[in-house]
Amino acid sequence: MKLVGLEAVLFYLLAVVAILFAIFMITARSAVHSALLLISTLVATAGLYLLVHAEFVAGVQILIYVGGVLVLFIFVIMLVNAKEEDNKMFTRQLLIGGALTFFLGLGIIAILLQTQKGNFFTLASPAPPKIEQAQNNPNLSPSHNISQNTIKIGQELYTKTVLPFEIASLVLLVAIIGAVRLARERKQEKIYD
Amino acid sequence: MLEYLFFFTAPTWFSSLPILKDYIDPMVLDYLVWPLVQIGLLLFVVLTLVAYLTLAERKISAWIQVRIGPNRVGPEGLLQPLADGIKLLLKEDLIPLKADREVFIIAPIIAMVAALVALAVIPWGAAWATISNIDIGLLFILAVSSLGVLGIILGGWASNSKYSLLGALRSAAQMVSYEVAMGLALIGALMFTKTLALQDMVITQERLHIWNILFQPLGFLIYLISGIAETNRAPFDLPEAESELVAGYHTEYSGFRFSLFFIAEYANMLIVSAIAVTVFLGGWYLPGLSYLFTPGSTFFVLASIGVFGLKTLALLYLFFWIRWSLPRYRYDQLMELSWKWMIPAALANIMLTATFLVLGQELALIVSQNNMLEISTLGYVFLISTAFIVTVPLTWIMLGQINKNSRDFNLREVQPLPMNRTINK
Amino acid sequence: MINLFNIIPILLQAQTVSPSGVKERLLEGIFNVNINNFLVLSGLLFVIGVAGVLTRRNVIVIFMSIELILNAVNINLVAFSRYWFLQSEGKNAYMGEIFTIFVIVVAAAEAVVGLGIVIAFYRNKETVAVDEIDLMKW
Repeated sequence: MKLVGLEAVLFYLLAVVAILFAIFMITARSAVHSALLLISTLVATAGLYLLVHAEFVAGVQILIYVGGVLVLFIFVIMLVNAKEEDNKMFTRQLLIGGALTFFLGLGIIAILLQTQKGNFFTLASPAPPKIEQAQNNPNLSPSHNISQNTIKIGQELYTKTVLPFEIASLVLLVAIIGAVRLARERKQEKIYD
Repeated sequence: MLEYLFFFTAPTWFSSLPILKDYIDPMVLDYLVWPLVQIGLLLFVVLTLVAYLTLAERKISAWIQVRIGPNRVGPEGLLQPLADGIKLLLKEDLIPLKADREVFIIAPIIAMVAALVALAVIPWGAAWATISNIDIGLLFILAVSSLGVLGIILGGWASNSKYSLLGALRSAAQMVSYEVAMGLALIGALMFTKTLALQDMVITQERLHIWNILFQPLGFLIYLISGIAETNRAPFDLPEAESELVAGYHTEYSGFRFSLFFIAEYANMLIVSAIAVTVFLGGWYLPGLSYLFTPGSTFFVLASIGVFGLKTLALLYLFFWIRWSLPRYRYDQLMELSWKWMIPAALANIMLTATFLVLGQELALIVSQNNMLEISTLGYVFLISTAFIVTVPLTWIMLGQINKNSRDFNLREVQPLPMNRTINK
Repeated sequence: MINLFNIIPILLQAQTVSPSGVKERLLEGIFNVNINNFLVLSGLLFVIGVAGVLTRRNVIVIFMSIELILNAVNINLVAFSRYWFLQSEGKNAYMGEIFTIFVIVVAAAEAVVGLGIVIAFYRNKETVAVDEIDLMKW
């Protein structure tokens, strides 16, 4: 995998946006601002997925993360309307937490350096893409000549990973039931039971 | 990288223009200049269309209510949108003192951008009339339009006003609910087109010589209802219900920022109709169009753009018609319609469509190869008849039976508990 | 006159010659984005997420930081998926992306249950600060 020229420029642009907004997110006073900044980070990440030709994942990322999960977050923030946090953002463990994260960061960098001993940043670039060059195959529809990402993911998702897929749907069902059970009021329970 | 985005290159009449041919590299012409020309033209046309949609809405509502409608500015009031635009631009740009300033400013921009970005992948016509035919077209549109919800919610929250907040909360719940139904309703059609790219969907329908609505009447119905709810139009306009919430999420907005929300709403209507046309009504495909013009010629493309435009305008008229005919839903009725009717019906539609497709393949009426469907004449009869005779009535009866015993979403009515129930416990 | 428009195709197809010295290799690594750049990005996002979880007081922001951590992991998975796609010429190439989809699904489920807990808690104690959640402490 090697991105050069315009793609490299785009990578750095998106990476800087993602990291900066992530930092702003954990230091933002208002929770809604945090959510908005997290959305920016997630959209930038979706852009990165597009750069490595994972189009379907990029679409799913925006549709589910931003359109679903983050909207839910904002919804809950509005419901609980927590204003009292404004005077005290961090826990008492700010120093310990900061130190722990610092060491974690050092550890991750050390591991990255260790795995790429002497070769940091310059791993041999693999073979160029052979499969997904525009083929002008008349048997395929126009967009499949460009990219077969979606169709291949669909095929593998429903053949090789059927069992995880079913388990995922079960997880979602459990989550729905759990959320409804947790969020119900006493009054509502009385009415329904 | 740009090759991935712009598959349909510039038409020959454009690339052979003398000024361009001599000075610009053909690759730049195809991948940079031509898309920019398309985007500029599209934005101009769409924004003008949106302005005139507001006039059309006022004229149609006047016609429905036996009034005259705007007729002072220009001949028959045709310059009314211009006057409205100038008025909105000249108005004072208010930001409430207690509002969250940054979010208040960003929110209408999010709504507007999300609405306009989705225009990029819609196939406005054959061949070079499409800007971009990406592999994930439909998913892209669903994703981007789900971003539009954020603009409304954040705008309502940032205004720091109770009416705005109520409108925002309502619209969040409503749009998240109907998004599910909308996505599920499209899946049935995807089984026939076998692709997410929108231009390919139209090409598939052209190849099969059919409009998907014949295979998917239920899916179309669900999509249309959810689409109206997604765009916050009456009878689902609870986020901006003027009799309860002043103006809902944009109560505190004025001048230019308000007009951004307004444009976003009408652009969303346009997108919803365009998607309905592309997925269910055959896009730019009209039976017999290829006999009139040779496919691929400039006239063919122009005619296809005309066909697409006419279909979209017809659906937009349906939007206006519904708005001025039906009264507003109550909120619990709205939620019930989504969770008890639309989503189960969409799921049943998927199940039954898949069943009939597999059955058709077992009976050798349909052949699926190279990710494309080949349907025999009997296969068409089979699929269309099962869709109309089995899927629609079966789903209707089933849901009616199930929902007869389910409880009302409205908690107020239930509060006086019947005594015998508590004794039985 | 140099035509400005004609620079873009050169930018699009820019390729550098394989370098020799350490400095050139480092420069090449920075200008030719490789899998390592993705790993570094993902590591940084992960650390930022952990910092948010460990230090913030608002439960909802902590949840968002967890989403950020999962997102960092997803970047890794997708980057390696692409890397393997090019190395293996298409065999088992999409497993990383499929795993990403599963991670997104589980993240959605986790967020839903977590926010349900937050709402139930807020109803009882009128706060969302983790400092105040200390009933089990003695």
